[in-house]
Amino acid sequence: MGRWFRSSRDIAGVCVLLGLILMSTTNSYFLTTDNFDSIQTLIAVNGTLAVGMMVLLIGGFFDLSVGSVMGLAGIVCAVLLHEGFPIGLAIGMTLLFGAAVGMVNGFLVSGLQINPLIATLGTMFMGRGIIETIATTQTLTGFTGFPPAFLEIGAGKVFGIYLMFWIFLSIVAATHLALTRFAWGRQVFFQGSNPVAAHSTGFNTRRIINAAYCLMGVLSALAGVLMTARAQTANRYLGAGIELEIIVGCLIGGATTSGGRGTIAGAVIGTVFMALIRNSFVLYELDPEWRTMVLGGVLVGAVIWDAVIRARRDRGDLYDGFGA
Amino acid sequence: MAESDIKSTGANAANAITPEIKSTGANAANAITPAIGSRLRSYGIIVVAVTVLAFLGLTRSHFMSLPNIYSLFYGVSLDFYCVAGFTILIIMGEIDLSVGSVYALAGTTAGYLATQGLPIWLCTAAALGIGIFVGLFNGLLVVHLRINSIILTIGTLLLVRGLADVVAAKMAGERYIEAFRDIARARVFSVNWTIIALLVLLTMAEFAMVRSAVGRAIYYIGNNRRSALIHGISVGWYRVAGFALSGALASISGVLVASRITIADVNMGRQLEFTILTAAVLGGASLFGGRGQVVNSIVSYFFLAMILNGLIMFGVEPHLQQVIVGAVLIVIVGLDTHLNREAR
Repeated sequence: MGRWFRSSRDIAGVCVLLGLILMSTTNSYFLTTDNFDSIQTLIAVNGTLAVGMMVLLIGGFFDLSVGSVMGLAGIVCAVLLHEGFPIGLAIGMTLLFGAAVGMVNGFLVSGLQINPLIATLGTMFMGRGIIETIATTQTLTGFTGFPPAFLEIGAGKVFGIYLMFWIFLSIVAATHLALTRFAWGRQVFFQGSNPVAAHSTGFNTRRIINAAYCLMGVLSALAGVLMTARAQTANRYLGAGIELEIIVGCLIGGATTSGGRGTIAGAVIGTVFMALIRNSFVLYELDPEWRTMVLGGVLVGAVIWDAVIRARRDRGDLYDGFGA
Repeated sequence: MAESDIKSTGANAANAITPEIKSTGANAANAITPAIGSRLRSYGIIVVAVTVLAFLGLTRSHFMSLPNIYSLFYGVSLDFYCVAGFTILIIMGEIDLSVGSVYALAGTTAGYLATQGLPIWLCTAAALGIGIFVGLFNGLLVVHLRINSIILTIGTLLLVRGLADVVAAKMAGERYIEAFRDIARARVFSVNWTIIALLVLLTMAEFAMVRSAVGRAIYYIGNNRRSALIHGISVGWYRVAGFALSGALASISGVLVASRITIADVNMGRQLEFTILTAAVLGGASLFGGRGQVVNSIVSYFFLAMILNGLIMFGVEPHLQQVIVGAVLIVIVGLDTHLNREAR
């Protein structure tokens, strides 16, 4: 198949195109402004997370706590605004909060060298527990009644495109540049493809990892702020279970679980792919129970594809003594 | 504390222990003698468990009451199979995160089929079939395609959870038929049969893991897979069989628990895998393989449930339980990683 289809990103890209064609021809609602609005905001929020996750995956790491951080950030921001902080300051402090959580994750993984899945799983549990504890003191709708200028972040449009989508696009551009044009980006790739070499070459691997987790924390908090502004409420459901959707999106977009590979463009394609799946469940009125299955099926498929590609790359190495 | 509250904790998280099991745990730890750190932790957990038990018993009169302890113990006797399968797999250095979903799918499906009028044995066989199928799926992919078992089983966790939700939606909160509900309730000498089964099977499992060639092979594979292969152990088959066993045992627990909770519950077994993982590592198992004991995992599982049960009695916000499980998980895995680095 040549150079094409080496990465699941190319397949995802083709699927996205086919999906777009299929959905626009079979469903009259797909091309309406309402639907585009909902897809745009979905991509803006999930894509922001996916960019951060892609950087981590390239470095050979993971973060399962993004949904919890997102939910907590929404609540932090809501509380600050209720206390009368100016909007800019409230958002700034929320992002700092995200950075702090990211630092904690980074410390657990790089400092204490805990398996990243387990470490961030722990912080995910803790975050979710704190959210639930706070949420029980609130009504079911959660925090509402935000200043109109804050809601403008979620509802405002510039040149016909949502303000939050512009924010997302600028993050994509900035991260892409950071990964491809700056030393830090090269270090992340180096760390992911050969952590031992990166360490012995004298790179401060801890700092690289911490920076990646910190970025993830800030982007999670930002996603929380955007989603809160869009939904006009911060409640206990904010960001629940989103982490796997983001990781699956990134894997489809060409990231690997072993690190060292991936592009920001891939993260965007993966996010669009997942957004189309979610959208088709709404448009075709499919039972929500099946959504979990589709998500799992896509993840298993992406992981198998990843393994087959890897096996082909180091040819003949696949059946080395039956799995030893 | 109302009986119903105690029961609901018991069904999901919970577990128990009697003095004789504790002493088995200590003996078994001597028999295997893994790293010193691990052995210290094996004793450490028992000391901490006894301290917490004494504290809760002294400060909350209901805690040490027979119904509460019995309820916790009954809970662990149902989840025992699942914990055992998980532990055997983690000893081989693999992790199966799909157990909670398999548990839910197998239990709900068996209950659904029984309510449709199928004989109980056929429903149980179907549940076992589901468990073995998912286990083989996981195992063959992990071994043949060399996929990271954590990532793959997160995928199957979602797939199987989705299926379980579909089956649960079919039942829509309906009660299972009486014959199915009676499985976990049957009593022998006025004690639930599952408790007797726990004591007998746990002793047998521990003996088999320590003394039999299969048990030793399992530890060997976990300690050094390549060396085990060179010494003629069919490592691949052991690992595949380990996943299949984990699935099968999870489905047995699922059927028992579904029978106990009597209705199709969409929350059944959710996040069970993480509680079990925490318990296993707390009990001396390592993410790096080669360590761990079924007895210690069960003791730790009981210990965790005891803490959660105690927290409820102290009126701690139930959602804070999640925070505590998360914190315990991080601390204990951090310790595991630290000890492992020193051992090298």
